[in-house]
Amino acid sequence: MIQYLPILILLLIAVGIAVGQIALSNFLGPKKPTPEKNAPYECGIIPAEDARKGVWVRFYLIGMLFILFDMETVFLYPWAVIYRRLGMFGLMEMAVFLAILLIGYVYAWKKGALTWD
Amino acid sequence: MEAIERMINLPSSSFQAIAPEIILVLGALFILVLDLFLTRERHHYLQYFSLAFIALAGWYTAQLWGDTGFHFYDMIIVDNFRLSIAYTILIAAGMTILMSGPYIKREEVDLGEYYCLTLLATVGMLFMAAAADLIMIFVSLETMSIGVYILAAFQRYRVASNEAGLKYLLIGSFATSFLLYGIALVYAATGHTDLDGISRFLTNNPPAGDKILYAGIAMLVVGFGFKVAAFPFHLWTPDVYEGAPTSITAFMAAGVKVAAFAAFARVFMSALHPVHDQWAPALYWLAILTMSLGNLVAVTQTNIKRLLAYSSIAHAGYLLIGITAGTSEAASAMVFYLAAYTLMTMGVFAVVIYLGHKGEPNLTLYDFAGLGYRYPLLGFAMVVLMMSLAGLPPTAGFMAKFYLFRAAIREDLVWLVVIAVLNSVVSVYYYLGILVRMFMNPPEEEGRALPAYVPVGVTLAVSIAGIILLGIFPTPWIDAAQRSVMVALGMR
Amino acid sequence: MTFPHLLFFIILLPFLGALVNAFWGKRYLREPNAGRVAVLFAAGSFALSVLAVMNLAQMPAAQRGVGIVDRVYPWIYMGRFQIDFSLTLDPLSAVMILVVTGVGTLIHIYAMGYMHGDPLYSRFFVYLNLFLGSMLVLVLGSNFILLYVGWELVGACSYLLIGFWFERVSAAKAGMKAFVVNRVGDYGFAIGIFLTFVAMTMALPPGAPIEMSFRQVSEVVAAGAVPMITVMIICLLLFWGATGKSAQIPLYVWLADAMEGPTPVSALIHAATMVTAGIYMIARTHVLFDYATPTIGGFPVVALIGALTAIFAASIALVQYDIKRVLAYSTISQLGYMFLAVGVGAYVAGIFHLVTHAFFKACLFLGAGSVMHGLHNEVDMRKMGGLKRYMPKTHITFAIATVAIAGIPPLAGFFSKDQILAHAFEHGTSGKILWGIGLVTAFMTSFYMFRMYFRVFWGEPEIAYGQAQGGDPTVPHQNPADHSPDAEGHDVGRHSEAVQAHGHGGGLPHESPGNMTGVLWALAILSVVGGFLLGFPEFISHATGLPFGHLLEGWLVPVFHHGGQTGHEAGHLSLAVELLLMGASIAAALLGLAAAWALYGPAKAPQFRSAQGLERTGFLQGKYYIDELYNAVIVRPGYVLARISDGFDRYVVDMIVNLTAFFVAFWGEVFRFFQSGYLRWYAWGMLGGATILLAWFVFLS
Repeated sequence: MIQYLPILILLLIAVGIAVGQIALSNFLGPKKPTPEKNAPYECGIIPAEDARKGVWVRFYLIGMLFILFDMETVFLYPWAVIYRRLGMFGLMEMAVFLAILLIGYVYAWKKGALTWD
Repeated sequence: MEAIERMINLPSSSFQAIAPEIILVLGALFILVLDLFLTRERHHYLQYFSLAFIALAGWYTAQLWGDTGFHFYDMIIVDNFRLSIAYTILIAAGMTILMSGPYIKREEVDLGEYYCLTLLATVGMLFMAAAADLIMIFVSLETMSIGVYILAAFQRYRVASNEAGLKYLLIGSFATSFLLYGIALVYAATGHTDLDGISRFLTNNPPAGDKILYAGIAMLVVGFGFKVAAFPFHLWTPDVYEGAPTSITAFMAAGVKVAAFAAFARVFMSALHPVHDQWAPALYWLAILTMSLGNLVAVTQTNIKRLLAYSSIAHAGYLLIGITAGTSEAASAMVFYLAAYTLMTMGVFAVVIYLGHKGEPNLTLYDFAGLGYRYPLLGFAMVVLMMSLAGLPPTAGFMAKFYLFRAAIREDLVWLVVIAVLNSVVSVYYYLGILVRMFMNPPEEEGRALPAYVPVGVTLAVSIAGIILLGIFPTPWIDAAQRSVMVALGMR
Repeated sequence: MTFPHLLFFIILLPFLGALVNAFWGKRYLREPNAGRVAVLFAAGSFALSVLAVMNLAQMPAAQRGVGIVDRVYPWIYMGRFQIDFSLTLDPLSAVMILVVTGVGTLIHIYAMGYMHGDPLYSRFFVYLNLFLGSMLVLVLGSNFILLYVGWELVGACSYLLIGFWFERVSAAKAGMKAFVVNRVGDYGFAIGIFLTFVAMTMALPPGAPIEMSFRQVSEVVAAGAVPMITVMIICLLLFWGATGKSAQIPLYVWLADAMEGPTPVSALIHAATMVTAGIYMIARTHVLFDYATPTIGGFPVVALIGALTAIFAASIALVQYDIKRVLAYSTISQLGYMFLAVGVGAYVAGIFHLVTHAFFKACLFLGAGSVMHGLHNEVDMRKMGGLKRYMPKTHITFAIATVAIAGIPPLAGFFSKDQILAHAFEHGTSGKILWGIGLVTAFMTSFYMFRMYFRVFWGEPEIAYGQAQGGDPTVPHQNPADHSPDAEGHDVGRHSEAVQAHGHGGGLPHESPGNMTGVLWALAILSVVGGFLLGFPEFISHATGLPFGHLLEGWLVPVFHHGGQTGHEAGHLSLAVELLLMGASIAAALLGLAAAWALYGPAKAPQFRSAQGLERTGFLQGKYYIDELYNAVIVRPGYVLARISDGFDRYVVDMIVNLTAFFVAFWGEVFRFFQSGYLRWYAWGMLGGATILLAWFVFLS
């Protein structure tokens, strides 16, 4: 167990710094709250409604789709770096991967996930 | 880079090792696309295609029978244990899809995604049985779980179903984190995530008091215990089983449990076998508590789906005996038990679907009153199912218990078996209680004609036939189960 | 021609027929078609049986002893105990399946007519098919276990068939009685099988599989590996079982009731087939009985019981009025003959009598059924007479069968009965006494059969037709319910309603429909020719050069050849003695005929005929009061015991059970409390469990 001691110390230091900073600023910083100061900052204009307002569900749908296809692109980069070495096999693998994503794309499209209203 | 070089020369036979899974993935995608181009009246085609893909996967599984070996860098294993489990899972999936047709039409959730998700969840289950690496187990478990989470909440317009899905998701993620943590700790202790490596390491370096390893094992028990619904990680079971669509409840009770037990068994009985003496006592008590709790609480239930949930907890307790015993004989007894259990579960949920109404108001035991006389065939089916669940001869349930308990006795787990038998006695009370209601109580209301759900009837008939076949002519199935050994680890 | 699992299909067909009728009989097939389907399956089974037996006949005699073995399925394999679902067709089972499926099919055809109009028409055929299949399992099974399965299955079917008209108290009671009495026998049989198993575990070398097949057991016993006394006890236990199923002293009581209450068809299927199971079983295990014959005072137990049952039952039959009851006691008596035969080692003669008896007894039962059908369920022979005018076909076939059973040459019964008596005679000193009993029984048999025949078909009824039936418009109407002393429902219930419905309600007797009389003719012809075709005495054909021979003898030799004494040609007796014995049995039969003629002949006035002193004998009329004795000695103490057990059950066992149930329910409620439905509770529960597990693993290991 002793060999893990440095990790524990490191963990404690990390937690200590994070907690310490917030605590310190809390203790040391001067606090003179007014209603205006407590209000969410909105370019100097008086807030019109609650900040915790729901976002339309379509937004999440688009967001998730974006992340999905974003990942696809991210995956393409490392593949592109070594694709010569992977040769035909690699090409086919990527083709399968893209085909599956394409099916997903067609699905999302046909289901109307891409239309905003 | 060297690893990649090797990957380029992957032998083509490797793909055969996961051919059934590939077929099902393709099938799921095919159904997803097909659904887009089908009119609503032709939705039942999806069911037929799903069944066809499952049959094809089953056919490929049969081609693999007898092979052994590791594939994809010790990620995938081929041995008869996996293949037997795969068969059981495919049967569970096939029967689920078969009885889903009329059911999801009645519940008005007749969507193509249903079949797609069922197939994908099945893929996850198959991979769980095939996994030879803790990471692989984790990934396949997630593949399975995500599908099932969605399926549990599939009746979007029903609050109970949403509740079931959400509960399952939240508490399932919680449990999965334990599993992942356990994997990390085991890796920390042994330096391996592949089961073969873990086994080799533990054989070569007997871990005297390695706390990290044991903490990891404890976490693994929690993770698997959740999936198989062992005490005290079972608490979600009744709520989720009750709320989920009935066909999915059947799928969870049979498929998920079978897959989880397969992975559980492989990790503990094979990879962690060198430290069997250290983890066996904990599982001994886990088994006792799980079966006792399941049976005791089942006695007080009146809602049929909750009762069956507790019954499935009790059966998980019996199956834990097999893991506790830890021998290959116990493993083959578990294979037989899981097959028998799958048949019974599918049959009994088919009955529940038959008796249900749209929207699934709570189906209680009182709804069974007098049914035995009004529908003699259904009554006969219930007699067989309940006898099998209670473990009375001449049914599959009896033979399964017999072989499992015998394997445990051979390992001197006499008291465990005594408690299990006492538990079976308790279980007779509530199983036969249903029959008493069916045959001795007058019906509550005037008879509503049972719907003519042909596929559900077929499911029921298959399950009854299987139970009787396994109960009266067990020998060939026992033979197959005995040949379903796990490939030996740590030998290379 | 043959194909795989031919034997299995023989069994399968009747079961399939039962399934078809069980599921679709009532709803879709209905009256004539359900019967047709059942007949089709039974006849198919018969055709396959013939095919299989032809295959067997083509085999060389040496192989025939082994027979055709169909190993359908490895059935129960547990360590050394390795039971196959395996069927064997050897000459002995060949004879049995031909009788069972052949006569069985005829009964099916007959039942189509007889059960006409019954509301549970299709169900009856379910039972009949089930019975046929069970009987085939019994005779084709290769091992004791399968034989036992068939044995119990026929028991269950017979319960169903006897109690078929269950609204009738007498039928329901008879069914129960048959079942319970048979259970008593089955205990002996089961213990015998267990003992055989134990003996096998000790006799066979360690590790050798115990198949419990007849072949294996016979070989082990013949090799002398089992102690003599063990074999003897096994034999006694097996015979105990046989006395139950085949209605021998002391367990014969069920058969008479079973035949009195319900349909003649079910009565018959017992008479011709089921009750012969005991004889078959003893013949099947003859190696054991030959190896260690149980004897009592010099008499072989089996033969002694058989002979005593024969004369005992025959004496009861002398005075009965119910025609089916006469036939029932006659069946018991004839079964006694068969046991006499197998008891003295004359297996061929026993099986021979089994076959011929199946023919003529079937004919008699169906004839009686035809009479009842014509007189709408009248069974009292005092109300019959002169029926030969109304039912000519029934009359002639009945007459043929009567002559056959009485043992008058050259009809079937003569040959088989004579051979049994001759074998008994040559069996030492004790055999002479057994022969004497048999001869007296032969006389009685002839007497009571002709008595019935004359009373039913000749002369005049004591009450003119139409009066009792109350349907003739010229005669004052009488209540049909009180026309019979044991009217316990003979005219109530479904059947009579059905009879009324199809227009038989009263009037003069009438001949039965063609499918019934056709069957009667078939059986009558078999009763005529069955004897000399199958078992013509060898010594006569030797002496006279007639082209007949003992076919059955030659056929069965491969089965019984190691049994030593097999048949007539053993040649213990000289030709003169043989002829003398034959003369004696013919004389006994003719004497019986003459006595019956003298007492009940057509010349006698009907009133006088029932005033015979003999019939007034209370002891015989009361069947020796054996039923009353059993009631007093066994049933009533049984009730007392049951009361005591009931009290124990109620106050001691139930209390324990209730306490357990309370315990279970209590803990169930406790655990249920934690099932709150709140997810946070569940998460806490999991966390708690994980903590305990973690602590266990980390600190305890």
